[in-house]
Amino acid sequence: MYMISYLSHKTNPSVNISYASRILAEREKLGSTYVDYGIAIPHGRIEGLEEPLISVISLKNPMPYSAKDHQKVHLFFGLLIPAVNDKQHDPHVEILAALAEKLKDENYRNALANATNNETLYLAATGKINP
Amino acid sequence: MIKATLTIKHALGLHARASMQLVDCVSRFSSTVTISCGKKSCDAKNILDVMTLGATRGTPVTVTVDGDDEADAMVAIQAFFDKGEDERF
Repeated sequence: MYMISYLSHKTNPSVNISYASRILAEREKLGSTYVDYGIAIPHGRIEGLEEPLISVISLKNPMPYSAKDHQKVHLFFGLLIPAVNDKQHDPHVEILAALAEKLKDENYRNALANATNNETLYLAATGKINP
Repeated sequence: MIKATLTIKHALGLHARASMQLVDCVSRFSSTVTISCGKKSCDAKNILDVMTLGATRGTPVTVTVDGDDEADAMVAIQAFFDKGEDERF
C-alpha cells in the first residue's frame, strides 16, 4: 500500500503517503481486493483529493496475497478516489467499472504482463500498446 | 428458471467489496446466475463481470437464476440485496 501511496504522491504532492497507505490498508482489511488473473485493485477514498489517481505496479516476482485459491498477485492497480459527501457525485463505481472492463480483455492483460519497464507499462495500462 | 427485479440498496452501489460479496454469495450455488443492468448483462459468478455493471444505489437490476437450486439461490440473492441497506463505512 505504501508504494501505491508513494506513486500517487509523486503525481499529486497533496497526497499524504501515510494517510493514503492507512486508508488503503483499512480497506484491504474489510476484504481482499484480488479480482482474478493475478491482479489486485487496492483502493480507497481520500479526503481532500480532487481527482482520482491510478497507480500500476507490476512485480517481477508474484507475491502471495489474500487471494482465493492462494493465487499470487503480479499486478496491482492502486486507486485513490476522492472522498465525497452525499450530495456530490461519487465516481467510485464508475471508475471500478471502467477498470474491470479493461481487465476483462485478455489482450490488455497480456500487454501489461509483457511490459518490461515503466514506459511500456504506462503505455499498456493506458491502452496504447498491444501484446 | 426464476427471474426477479431487485434494487441496489448499497450506499455506494455495487462497488468492489459488494461485488465480491455478491460473487461469494452466488458461487455457493450450482445454478447459473445472470444480472442485467440496463443494456449490460453479466455472469454473477465472475467478479470482473459484476464490477463492469457499475450499478449505483437505487438502480434496478434483473436477476435470472437457472438450475436445481435456483429457489435457494434467489432467496440468498434477495437477502444480499436487502442487506445492502445496512452497509456502513
